[in-house]
Amino acid sequence: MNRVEYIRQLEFSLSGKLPKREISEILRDYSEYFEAGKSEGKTEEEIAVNLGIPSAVAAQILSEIEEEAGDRKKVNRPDSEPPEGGYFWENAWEKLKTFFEQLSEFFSRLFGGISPEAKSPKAPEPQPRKQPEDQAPEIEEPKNNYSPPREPKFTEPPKPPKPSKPSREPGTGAAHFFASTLLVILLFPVIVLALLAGGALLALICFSIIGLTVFLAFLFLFFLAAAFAGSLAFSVLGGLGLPISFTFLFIIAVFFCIAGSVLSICGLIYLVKGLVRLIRTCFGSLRWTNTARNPSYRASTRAANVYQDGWDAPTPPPSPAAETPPEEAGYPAPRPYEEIYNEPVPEPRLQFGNEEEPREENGHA
Amino acid sequence: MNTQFRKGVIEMCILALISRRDMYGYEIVQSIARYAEIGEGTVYPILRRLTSENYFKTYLKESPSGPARKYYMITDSGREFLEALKKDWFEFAEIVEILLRGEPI
Repeated sequence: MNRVEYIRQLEFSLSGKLPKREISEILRDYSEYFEAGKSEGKTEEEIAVNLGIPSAVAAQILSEIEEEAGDRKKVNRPDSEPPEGGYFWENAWEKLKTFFEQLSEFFSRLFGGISPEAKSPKAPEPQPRKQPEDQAPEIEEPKNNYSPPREPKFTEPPKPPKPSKPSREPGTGAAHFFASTLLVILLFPVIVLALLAGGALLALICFSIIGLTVFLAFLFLFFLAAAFAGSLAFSVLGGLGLPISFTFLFIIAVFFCIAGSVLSICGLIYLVKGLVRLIRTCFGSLRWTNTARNPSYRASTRAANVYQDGWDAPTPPPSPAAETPPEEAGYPAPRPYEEIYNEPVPEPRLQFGNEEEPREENGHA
Repeated sequence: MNTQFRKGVIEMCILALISRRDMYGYEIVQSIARYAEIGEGTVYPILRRLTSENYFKTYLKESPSGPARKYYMITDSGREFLEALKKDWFEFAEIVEILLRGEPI
């Protein structure tokens, strides 16, 4: 087995059981071991054979750590306890902050003008230099000497590593875990929705002022930005090897973003329509629609009242001087009494078994 | 050499070697493995544990061949621990020797 394969198998055996930082430290040490062996003239296969199979070595490392944890429980050192909820949420806040720092950096670069160095409050601190001492150099292990190469998606100055600590920051237990979980779960959709609202507002303005083509162009830019943010998130978060559930969460968030955009556009259209109608009913062409000035409205309400509710709409008392003929007032012409009396009564549609008593014509005696 | 002896004293040997002079990982493993006949793969985990218990400090130093090497340096708590282990070992060895030689205790 050659060095690369050995290291890869070792990493596979250890992944998930130790924090990423420790794993990369171990892999770096074993890489160095191979290099040192090669400089003494051994081949990689020899070294691999002498070390033993990677899974056994990994098991040994883990058992030593367990033993150490067992000893520490007696000494009660909280630093060695892994944070609750595992290593996934470790430094979640820092990961989120770096993600948003990179995002804002990208957008500021995209829209020009602001150089990343000028943003002093957010600039990451330079790595602390080794303080030379008289006896021996101070311990400062640079982080991630063995990080797998991550190709940058866009030209960006390499982020200097954060100052390393001799031990992990002590997790404050359940509160820390729940707070960071809630933060990440809530913050992401909130920001997505905020982006959405801003985009919808701008879309409304564009649509109302200039027209459909600009609106569509803006929409395209908006989705492009969302896609960029998504790919950036994948590149940043994917490099840290978060489990599948987080990427699913993000995919669902993206879908919600798209669905929300569509729904907000529909809502906007309805809103605009309603506004226009409102303005028209107050001031414009629809002003007199449902009022007495509209003859068709009057007729429809009167007709409805007469034939359905059974009472006559109040009519103005006929003026003695000029009585409009019935046809002009909108009523049907009055028919002679005889005609109505002699009008044949229509056959009832439903017969209830009274064939012996056929209905007489006109029914009165 | 008997396995049981080896496991018990590997820690001591590592501490004793590094207390003489600072060494890097490969050097330590080679020295111990050669003389104590143990697998090379078993030394490094113990070395790692002792380092995380702060008996050693590490620093990087440039090497003529290839990348920088991580050197291990013993700390004060490491020295104390080594002294305690030495005391235990010599007392124990004395008693064992007396028993084995059949001498009166």
